[in-house]
Amino acid sequence: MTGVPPASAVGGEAPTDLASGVRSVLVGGIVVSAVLLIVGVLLWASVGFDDATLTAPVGPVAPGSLDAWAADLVYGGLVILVATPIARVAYATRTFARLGDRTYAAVTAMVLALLVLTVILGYLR
Amino acid sequence: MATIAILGIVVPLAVALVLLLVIAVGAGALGSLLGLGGGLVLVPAIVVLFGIDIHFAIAASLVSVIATSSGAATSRAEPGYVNLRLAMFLETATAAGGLAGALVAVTVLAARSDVLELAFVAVVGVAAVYMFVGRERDIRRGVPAHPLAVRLGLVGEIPRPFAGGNERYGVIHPWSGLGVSGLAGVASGLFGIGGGLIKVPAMNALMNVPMRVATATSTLMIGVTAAAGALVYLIVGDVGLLVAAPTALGTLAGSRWGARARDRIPVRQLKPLFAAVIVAAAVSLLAQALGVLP
Repeated sequence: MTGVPPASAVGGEAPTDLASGVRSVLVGGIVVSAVLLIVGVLLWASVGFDDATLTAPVGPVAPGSLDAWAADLVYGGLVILVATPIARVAYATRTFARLGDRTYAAVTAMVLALLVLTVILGYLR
Repeated sequence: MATIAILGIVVPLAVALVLLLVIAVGAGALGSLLGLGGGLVLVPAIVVLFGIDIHFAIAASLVSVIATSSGAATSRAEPGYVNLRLAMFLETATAAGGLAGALVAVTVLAARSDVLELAFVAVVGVAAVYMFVGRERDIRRGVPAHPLAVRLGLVGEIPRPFAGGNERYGVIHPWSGLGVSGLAGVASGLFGIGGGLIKVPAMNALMNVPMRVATATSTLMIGVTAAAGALVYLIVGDVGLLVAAPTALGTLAGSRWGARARDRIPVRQLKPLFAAVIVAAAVSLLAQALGVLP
């Protein structure tokens, strides 16, 4: 294959520290969210799921109660879970910028901008 | 004590949560083994068994897709095969598609759950056909990489299992791949699936990416794709805490087990089983949409 530059790493030319950094961000996010979800659901179960429904929307159930604590923990776990891949993109943007790779800093910044736009459009809906 | 009716049988809510967890473990394991995500099973199961509106099921499924994607990073089975630059290039399209799909679902189709259910049945039909006719395509050797792929550094290498050393693959058709990825994103936001069903064959057959690289790269990408959709559902309040939590935890556990077991289980023989499961789930959903089921 003429004209093809040598790949510095298996599965693409991403720098090794980027790959391991991405992995660390994802592992950190998944562990924190799993802990919050497990503790939240178990706490909720311990008070008997009074007045709870499967489709209870996000946010506190009854402010100040143990259910509310549990609901907040579960909500926090879900938010962190959703934020984990977004944090991965932000980490990649920072790393590419630090490495002086302006092309991929721009590509990942574009993905980040789309996710911010998602939040804006979601609220405007 | 809170209760819920499952197919007309009233049970304590805690029992429903355990059942949801078990279903999610199974969906995550099967999806991970076959590289197809568990949303195709989860969405119909949640709607039909628990009588929940499909919007809540889609939201829970999107959260579980993120769990599958991020959880795969904690497995040592696949990360070496991920083409990070290819993932980030295609994510520009999948994130936009995921946003568009989710916005359509919560606006135009906000009150048309029946339309979403029927469209989901069609998607499952396509997935079932793919299970039977989908074939892994060998990379085309000697094909020069597209100039854009060269400029973006999308070219990668994959270990040769028998000959030793690494084999380079040249990525072609990057613009078409971007377009197909956008469609996969729309499907993800609309139906709560990861979109690997569309992206993996496209990367393999269209872009000349080895199947194992395509699967691992798609698994990483679906996290960002699903995050775009999940953000919309979170903001509009369509994420049910007690649906999403056990679904995410179960899928995470199942997908991690599936990733580790992939090399020990005859995956090819599982395809008819998975096809049968998703067809049964889709038929149930169709019956529900047509009012045959309560």
